[in-house]
Amino acid sequence: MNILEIKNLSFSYTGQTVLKNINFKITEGDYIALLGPNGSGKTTLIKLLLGLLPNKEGKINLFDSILQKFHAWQNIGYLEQKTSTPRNMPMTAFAVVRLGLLSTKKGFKIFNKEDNEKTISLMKKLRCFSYKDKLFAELSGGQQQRVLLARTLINEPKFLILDEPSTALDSSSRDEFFEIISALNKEKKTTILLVTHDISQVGKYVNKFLVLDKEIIFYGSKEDFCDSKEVTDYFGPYTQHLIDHLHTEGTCPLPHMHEHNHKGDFV
Amino acid sequence: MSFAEFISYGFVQRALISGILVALITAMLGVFLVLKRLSLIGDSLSHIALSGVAVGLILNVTPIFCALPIVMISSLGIFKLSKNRKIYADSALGIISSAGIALGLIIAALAGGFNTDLMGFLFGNILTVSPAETFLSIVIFFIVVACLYFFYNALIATVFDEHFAKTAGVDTDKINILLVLLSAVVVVLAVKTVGIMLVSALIIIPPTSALQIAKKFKSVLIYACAFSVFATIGGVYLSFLFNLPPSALIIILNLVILAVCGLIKYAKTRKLN
Repeated sequence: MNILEIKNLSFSYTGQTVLKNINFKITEGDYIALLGPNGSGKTTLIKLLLGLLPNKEGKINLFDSILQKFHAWQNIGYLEQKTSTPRNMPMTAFAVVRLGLLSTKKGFKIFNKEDNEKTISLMKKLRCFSYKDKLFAELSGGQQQRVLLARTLINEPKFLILDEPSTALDSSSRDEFFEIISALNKEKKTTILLVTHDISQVGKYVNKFLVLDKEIIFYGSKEDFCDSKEVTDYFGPYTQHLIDHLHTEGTCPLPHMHEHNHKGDFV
Repeated sequence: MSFAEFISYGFVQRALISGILVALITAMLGVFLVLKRLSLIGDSLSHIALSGVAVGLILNVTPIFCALPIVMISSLGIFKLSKNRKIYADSALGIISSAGIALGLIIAALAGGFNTDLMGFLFGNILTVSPAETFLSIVIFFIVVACLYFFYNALIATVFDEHFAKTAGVDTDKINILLVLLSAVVVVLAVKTVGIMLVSALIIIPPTSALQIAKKFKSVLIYACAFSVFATIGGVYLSFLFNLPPSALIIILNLVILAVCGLIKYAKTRKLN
């Protein structure tokens, strides 16, 4: 089953090309790392495929349904790098997590007792129950991200879209975060599209790479990524370290993507 | 004059019924508008109401009924302008606000200048609320409460995080349109109570006071309503005692409540530190 199919997608903003002729397909169970330097169009691509930006050129299908007619939003879980939540929003962590159930609600979207129980159960599982009655705005960055992850996962979505989700987390929380996500991919075949700068962190989990810099530089399996001339040409010779490590340990010591100074070299 | 004697007058009863209903709906809507950083929408729409009222006075039609469609259309204009992202939301509010005042002034000049009726709408006079206007307040109150009840979670999601709300299947455009249209209706209704110049205060101050001390969304709504109603009853009563304009006293009482809430928050923060 195709989870996502993008055909001939282009996007311009104020006359500048942000994405050019993007074509790719994601199938059930894929765990894809979306890589690319700042300004490469990663977040724009995510926003387009979620309908948060108007798609004027090209075709986007979600779960074999054209985006404009797609309604099964309970199958999608989206976690942003940071939310645009009002600073003084008077909402508890519990209320924030429960909001994730909105997509399962028809009509007036009113919550019931069962929803409350489901929320509590998930918060316990994700170890954010202890601060369920605290105001979301008063939580630390890591706690907020854990609450937002719970909100994203509460529907058990079939397709998870994560846009640099681990930025606010410390290293141990980050490891735990990726373990949770990977378990979902392995045990429930949840399809994951993960925007990241941190190849070293996710290299051992993902099975595909998508490298984007306004256009697709590479899209394919981890094995092909390691043998790809396009990847080596794009990232430069230092990539060999990454590739070697992916081959041997499933991880790599590569500097973060934002540290590379131009197309080709890392500093 | 005792309070019992004060509320025995028919016009006072009408004023209190209308005033309390307006206080409740401005406070409830205000919570969403303040959190969405759209609180100045009240200011802009009330300035547009000036044009509508002036047209009504020229045509000899009940001004509120004339202002209502004009303000509603303008509220959709604000939504459209800010949605296009070509203009920031606060700039869109400023543009609509200036257009409202300019048009209102021109229409008033064409009608031979400001007369006492127009001045009444500028600064409000809750004590002259007619039975028809009281009835309109009751109808609008129930419409607003019904909308907020049925769309409560969708509204909260949209205010909390619009991107998330969209991906949760909430039609955020419809919710935003509902919010601006309700604001338009409420602003026109409130013009009679506190006047064009002070409408936005009713939308902004009670929710801001409530946000200082409340910990949950529902508590914010309850506190904002309670503060707003208290200030309205108090303002009307004090206006009788001291022969001062009720609209100004309503706002002053709201400001006093805001100051008290601010002090409570300050004291709590100091205690915690």
